[in-house]
Amino acid sequence: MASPSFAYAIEPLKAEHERSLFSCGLEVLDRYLLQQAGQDLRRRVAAPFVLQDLDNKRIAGYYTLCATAILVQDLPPELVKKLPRYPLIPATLLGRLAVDSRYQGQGLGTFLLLDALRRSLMSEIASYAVVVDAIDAKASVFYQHHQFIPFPNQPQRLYLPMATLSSMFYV
Amino acid sequence: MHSIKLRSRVDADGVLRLEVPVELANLELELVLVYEIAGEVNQEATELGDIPMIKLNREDSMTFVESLLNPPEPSSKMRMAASDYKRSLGL
Repeated sequence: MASPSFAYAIEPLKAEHERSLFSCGLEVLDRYLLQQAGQDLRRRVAAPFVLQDLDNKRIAGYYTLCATAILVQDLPPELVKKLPRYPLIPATLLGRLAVDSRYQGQGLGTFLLLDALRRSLMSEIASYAVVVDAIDAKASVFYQHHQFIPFPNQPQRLYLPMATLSSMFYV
Repeated sequence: MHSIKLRSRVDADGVLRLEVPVELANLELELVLVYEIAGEVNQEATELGDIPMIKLNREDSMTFVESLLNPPEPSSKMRMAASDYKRSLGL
């Protein structure tokens, strides 16, 4: 795992971050950061975090986290009895993750992902898994490479149990 | 006249709420609404208050719950990546 080779900070999105220069190669992710992320932050719909290149004052990457709820159904009673919550299971949604083109190829996607996973794990809000919606097949491969499990009927949607994350970071 | 493009969902009661750039705060605006339907609301992801809800079918539910009850051990590669990450932060 590579950490940034430049002086950096990972911090919540703020007004002084220069969002207009960000370009990751996927216009929908650039546009989100430029037009929507600030609104999501103000509305508390999602929490955007940026990897800031401190010397060049550029955003090298970003991700967003928010609470979600997984509605499971038609489970056999013996499984239901074992669940702490049913049918709604609280989880954390890693909504978007992107690295600026100038900073790609340095392992920063993995660095940002680990930061997002650890932040999810450290949160005091109850959550039993981190869920991601991969934006394309390449992103799905990236998450599976990092041990995310695809839902059988929704291969672009993947998850990682919080208990696995706990073992990953604390053992 | 200025033009900005926004995307917002119309509530079930037909109310459209717009959040505009903060630069427009405390200004009185006259608006002309030219709309384009961007898509139907995704039935798989409905809203629970402000929290998005993800519905799973039976097979996905079974797989997901089995994983929660029997979580996979992290791979040695991921353990090492997490360890490197923590070290890079001085943790």
